[in-house]
Amino acid sequence: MNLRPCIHVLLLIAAPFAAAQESARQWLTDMNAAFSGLSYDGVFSFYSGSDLASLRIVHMVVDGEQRERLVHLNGAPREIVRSGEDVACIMLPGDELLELEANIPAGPFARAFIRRYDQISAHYGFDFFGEDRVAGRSAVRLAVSPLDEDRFGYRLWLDKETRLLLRSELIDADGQRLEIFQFNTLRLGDEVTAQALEPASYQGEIRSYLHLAAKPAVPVQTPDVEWHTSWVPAGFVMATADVRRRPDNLASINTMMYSDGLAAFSVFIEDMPKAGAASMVSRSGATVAVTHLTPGPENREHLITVVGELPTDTAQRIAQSIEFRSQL
Amino acid sequence: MSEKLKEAVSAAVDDEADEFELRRVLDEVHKDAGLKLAWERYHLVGAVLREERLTPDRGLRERVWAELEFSAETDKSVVLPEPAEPVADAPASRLNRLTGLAVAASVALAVVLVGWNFTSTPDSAPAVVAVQDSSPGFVEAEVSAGNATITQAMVTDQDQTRLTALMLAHAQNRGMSQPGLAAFTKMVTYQRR
Repeated sequence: MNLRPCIHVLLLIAAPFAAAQESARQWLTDMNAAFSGLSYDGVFSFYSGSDLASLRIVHMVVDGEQRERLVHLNGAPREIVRSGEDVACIMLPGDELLELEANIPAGPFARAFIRRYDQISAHYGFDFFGEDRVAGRSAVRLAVSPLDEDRFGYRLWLDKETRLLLRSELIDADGQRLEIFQFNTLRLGDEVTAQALEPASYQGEIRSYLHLAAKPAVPVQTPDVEWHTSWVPAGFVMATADVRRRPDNLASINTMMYSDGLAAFSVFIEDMPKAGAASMVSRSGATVAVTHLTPGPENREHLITVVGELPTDTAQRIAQSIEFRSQL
Repeated sequence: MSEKLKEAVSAAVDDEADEFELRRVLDEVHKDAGLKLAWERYHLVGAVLREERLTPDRGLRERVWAELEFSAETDKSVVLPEPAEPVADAPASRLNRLTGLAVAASVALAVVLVGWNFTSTPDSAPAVVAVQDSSPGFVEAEVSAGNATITQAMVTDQDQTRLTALMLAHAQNRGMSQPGLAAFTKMVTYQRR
């Protein structure tokens, strides 16, 4: 039997497929570059499970330093401004986010190591699926589909001219949309003024700061203690690891973040609180949080919390795989 | 034991009783050994009907008492009798101490996983208790599946706050590690449910 015609047919199918994969990776790389390199000022909608929010984002590179401003347009007035590696969150007294802040582990953030888009094709497939119009601009649609059940998929609308992300949908295995991000209006390039980067001044405003530490990401390790993740989905690598403290009681929390280049999850390890449930699952849109109890140093119970944009089963499997290993 | 009381116990076991009725039934169950047996038998029958393999949880009733006492601290309009026996609190059963019937004030959209820390085999689906958004009082709990010992967990406001805070900490992790502030969107749009 002559296989040559079959091979020809296969080549005819495979060649454009490979070209699409290559081209898609390039579009994703360009999308990232557009996010950090372009000047833009726009209003976008964000839908996550049950809530629809409106925000304004302004971005510019000023004297080689990235400057950004994110403004919450509905409800409580909140702004986040960034100059290089310093991020400030501006709120007003009485904001419920302020109450929650006492519970958010604080500390310097280690610089993350995020995989490049040319390394993610082992875990996602890419398909262009036509063109569309978003915020009055022409967009190319790109589907990013997971090749296993341990991550979600994405539909991206990329600006034809600048490759900036104009709309994205995060979708689960059933095709359900868990999150939607979409620009409604957008100004680009010279239309953006540095003045738009200045936060509004609010009477009695409260600022809190986040700082990106200069130190590189290292595994969480002290001479005789190590927490170890014995299973993570294929392609996920550790992006950061550091030790934070809870602002209210100064309890230390080991924090690690893993990423496959698109999706990410964080692991938090702390002494089991005196009161509380041991096993919980809470989901908000695409983000799931699961907890698991495991023995740690001196056989004390530790509470493991995995938070990420992941299917629930995957997050649970990760949480249950975390072990303490004494180095003694 | 009156038929009416039996019906009330049955409704309580099936989660069909309102909070007031539940308190009354628990009061009666405490006083009456026959009702205690009925309480446990109805739980077992319910589990068989739901095709669950259930280990009757004799501590359940006591824990419900403990939880009701807890919620009564903020609800002085209901006078509760003293429980007849203390709630078991062996140091070795820390996990069990943390579990109880899902009584929680304003637990928002938490899905509580139970069983998988206890006796579930690797292949068995964990029993899931979906705790719905609710005002203080009993939270509707629905046990969905599982080969595991059925134990219903309690999620407090503190637990939910802790989880929400860590969700935002994850958003910060993402935000600090990628270009564009878009990852901070989840933080900026935070709303207490």
